[in-house]
Amino acid sequence: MQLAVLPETVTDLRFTARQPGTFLVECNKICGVGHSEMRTQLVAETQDQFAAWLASQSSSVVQPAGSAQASSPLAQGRQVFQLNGCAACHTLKDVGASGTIGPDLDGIGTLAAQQIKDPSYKGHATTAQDRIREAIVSPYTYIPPGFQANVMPGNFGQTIKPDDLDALVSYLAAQK
Amino acid sequence: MNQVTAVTMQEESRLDTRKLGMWLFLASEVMFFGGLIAAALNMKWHSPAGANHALNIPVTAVNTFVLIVSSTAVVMALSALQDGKPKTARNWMILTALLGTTFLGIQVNEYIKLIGKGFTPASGLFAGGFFAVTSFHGFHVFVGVITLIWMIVRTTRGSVSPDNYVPFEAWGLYWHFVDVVWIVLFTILYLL
Amino acid sequence: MAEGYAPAARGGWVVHGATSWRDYFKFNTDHKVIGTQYITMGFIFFLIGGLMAEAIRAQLSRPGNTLITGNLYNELFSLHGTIMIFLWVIPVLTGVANFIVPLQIGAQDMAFPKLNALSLWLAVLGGLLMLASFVVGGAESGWSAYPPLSEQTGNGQTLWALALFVIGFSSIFGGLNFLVTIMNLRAPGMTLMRLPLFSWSMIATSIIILGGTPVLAAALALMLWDRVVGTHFFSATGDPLMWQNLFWFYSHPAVYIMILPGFGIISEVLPVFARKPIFGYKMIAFSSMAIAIFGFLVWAHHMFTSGMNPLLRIPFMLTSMIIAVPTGVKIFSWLATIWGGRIRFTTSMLFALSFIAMFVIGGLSGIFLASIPIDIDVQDSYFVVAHLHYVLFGGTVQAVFAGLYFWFPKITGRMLNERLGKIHFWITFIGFNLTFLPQHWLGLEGMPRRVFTYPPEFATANLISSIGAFVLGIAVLPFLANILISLRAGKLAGANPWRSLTLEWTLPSPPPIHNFPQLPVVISDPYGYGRKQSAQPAQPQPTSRPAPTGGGQ
Repeated sequence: MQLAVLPETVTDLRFTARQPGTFLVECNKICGVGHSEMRTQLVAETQDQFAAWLASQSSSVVQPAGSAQASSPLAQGRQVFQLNGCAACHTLKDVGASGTIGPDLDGIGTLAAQQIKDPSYKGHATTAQDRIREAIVSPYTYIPPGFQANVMPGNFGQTIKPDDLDALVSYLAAQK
Repeated sequence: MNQVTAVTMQEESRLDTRKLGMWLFLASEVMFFGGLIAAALNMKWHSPAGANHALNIPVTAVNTFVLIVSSTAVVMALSALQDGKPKTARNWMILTALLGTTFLGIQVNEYIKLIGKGFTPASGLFAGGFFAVTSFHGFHVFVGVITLIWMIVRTTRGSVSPDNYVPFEAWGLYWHFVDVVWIVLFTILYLL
Repeated sequence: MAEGYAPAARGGWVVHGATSWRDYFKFNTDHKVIGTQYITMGFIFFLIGGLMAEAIRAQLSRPGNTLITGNLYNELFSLHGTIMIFLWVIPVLTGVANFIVPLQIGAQDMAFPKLNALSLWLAVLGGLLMLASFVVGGAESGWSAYPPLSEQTGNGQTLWALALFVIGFSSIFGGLNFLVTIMNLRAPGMTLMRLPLFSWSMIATSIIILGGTPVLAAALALMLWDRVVGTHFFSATGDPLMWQNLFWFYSHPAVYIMILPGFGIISEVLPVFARKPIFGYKMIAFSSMAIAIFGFLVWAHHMFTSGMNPLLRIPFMLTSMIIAVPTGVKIFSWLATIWGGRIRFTTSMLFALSFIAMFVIGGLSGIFLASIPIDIDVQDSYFVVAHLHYVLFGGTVQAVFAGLYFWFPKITGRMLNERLGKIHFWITFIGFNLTFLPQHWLGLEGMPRRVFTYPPEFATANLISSIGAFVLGIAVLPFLANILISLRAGKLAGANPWRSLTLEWTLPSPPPIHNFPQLPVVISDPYGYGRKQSAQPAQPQPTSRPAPTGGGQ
């Protein structure tokens, strides 16, 4: 099955899943640099399983788009993570993200500190916080082994407001 | 003229090579303007109802008349050539060139006024379609005037003459085509 | 004698005829020189586009490869497609037609020789602009350049659009020239029903060029306006789908521009090497015209998954299936032509026979794609890539080689080496099928096109395909060697080494500057192989005699 998505247009694709399972969904029309890696999963499950999943969604409610009003600094960072599509590619249990295209971010606070001490590290960060910031705004300065250049968008430095970026970095640095 | 004029047993009824070439070129131009006009119409349908109210119908109606008169001048010029009066033909050609230039001048003036009012190629969907298709048309008028000047030169020199009027006849087909395209554009963009 | 065939000695900038290799770099109005220029230019771009393909297949030889990724990869497949279509296939077919059509119809040159030279140099200019776009970078949205992406890519995309715009005019003027030439400059006695089928195919091709290419020009103009002036024809607030409609309105008929001359070449080659008249001359001629007309009615089959109105897809599915019929007519006519013939397996004939087989495979995958439910599954997958290469490489390119091996003696006066030719053929055949046969499976199993990596389960098929591409690359070498050696030391061909009956073979090889010393008068169709003449058994029928003004022959 496939159907194109067009800007400012609603297109409609309907189907009946005849068996439960996890299915591959991939981008099928050249869309830019990340086209080859743009994929995700479609999960078909029984009515009961779906009801359970739906009930668990309210535990990670996202505030309206654009507003990073939060009750705690970490909450603001979590919302920035959720609002910028990071879950599409990264795993982070704290928000229920299970993306597999980019590095796993569980424990990234500790990992980042180790990365900068690794002899193969080529970037300019001296602390875990700096390393996390560098990985967001300048991802190709140092790409961890096993991953490729030109997949993570390189313009988060322009699209995320400085205040939100700080909160995001603090939030991620707290994931130990 | 450097093409073969092969004399064959069946060729008396064939269309002159230069005229056939011009007709086929005009057929391709129909497809080119067809694509542009389809796009402009599509932009019109995607636009709110009053999108073309910025356009000045009275002035452009006069301009349309100018172009139609210029086509008449072309007919007169060809007729004069065929009647053996090259000097008269040349005068009609000069009139045509003046009318064509007038058309272009009025068009450019209209563009300037529209842009001043905020109706620019980037200001809206219909505006973009309007400017794109009319400027391609204007370019064709411009090319027509330049090639007409070349025809006038050739008529003065005698290489276009009552004995060899087909080059001008073929050119005339182009000019009439440009006129017809304008009538279509005026109707679709201004009147509808 | 017609005026205008000024020998080079008249000075000035317009040269007619070639006395040295330098004349091939000038604005030369002789159709034979222009034809050679087109063929050479086309072949150079074949090699450039081919190198791009080798790079792509090298990257795809294993999953997760990091040889070429991201922007560069996207640019490579975009320009590979664009160059192969607009700078190899279309120019080389134009070149063969330029050389051969006036000779086949008994004319001294094309109807508009200066326009002809202008067309060639516009194509060269377009080619240079296209290479510039590759250097600048940014033409990364595929050869089909869908917006919004194609309006967000780098400056190379603007150059790409400009290059295509220029090439489009080269094509339009060429089509105009062929149509006027064939309609008006045929020798006495050459009625349309005696016209060689290659020239018939050029009538149909020219009609498509004149009807379709200007719409591409309009689409490109609007894209350039969007990118440079800031209009919104195809942007998010405009109508991105409109690009697809305008683009495919040309680009579908364009594939018929690319195949019809190939069909024409096959119709010339088969009778000569089977020593039998062509079967179904009228059906072949009229089916070309039918394809030309129907070709304009199928374009939205490229858009079945675009979000277009679902009901509107159905008429396009119907027309896309119906258009297989005229082609089927040709296939059966060709098979009937060689049935019971005395086949001579020259290299040209090998490519022609292989053409029939490979094109049928490509045509069949095309019929599958015409079906909406199947297309919804495999659109934009490697199944489409397999289909298009079977019809364009297995089809057109093999037909081009059949034509080059056939007409090389006429163009240069020397024979190509048959042994090297057969090596070229077999390596091509093996490499081609190794490369593209597995891609049918890849597409059906879900591998998308235009990707630089894939899941591990596709690794074996991709590896086989990449090995095949490597073999295809090698195949070019015996061909190049053959050309270079034969140009200097090939056996002298004489006027008619293949004992063919079309008019070009009545002239010396290569033909003199002004082609026919006396205008021929045509007295029969050119496919009378094996027809007995009362006093002379097993001789080809004369198809022409000189016009009564000259002496005897």
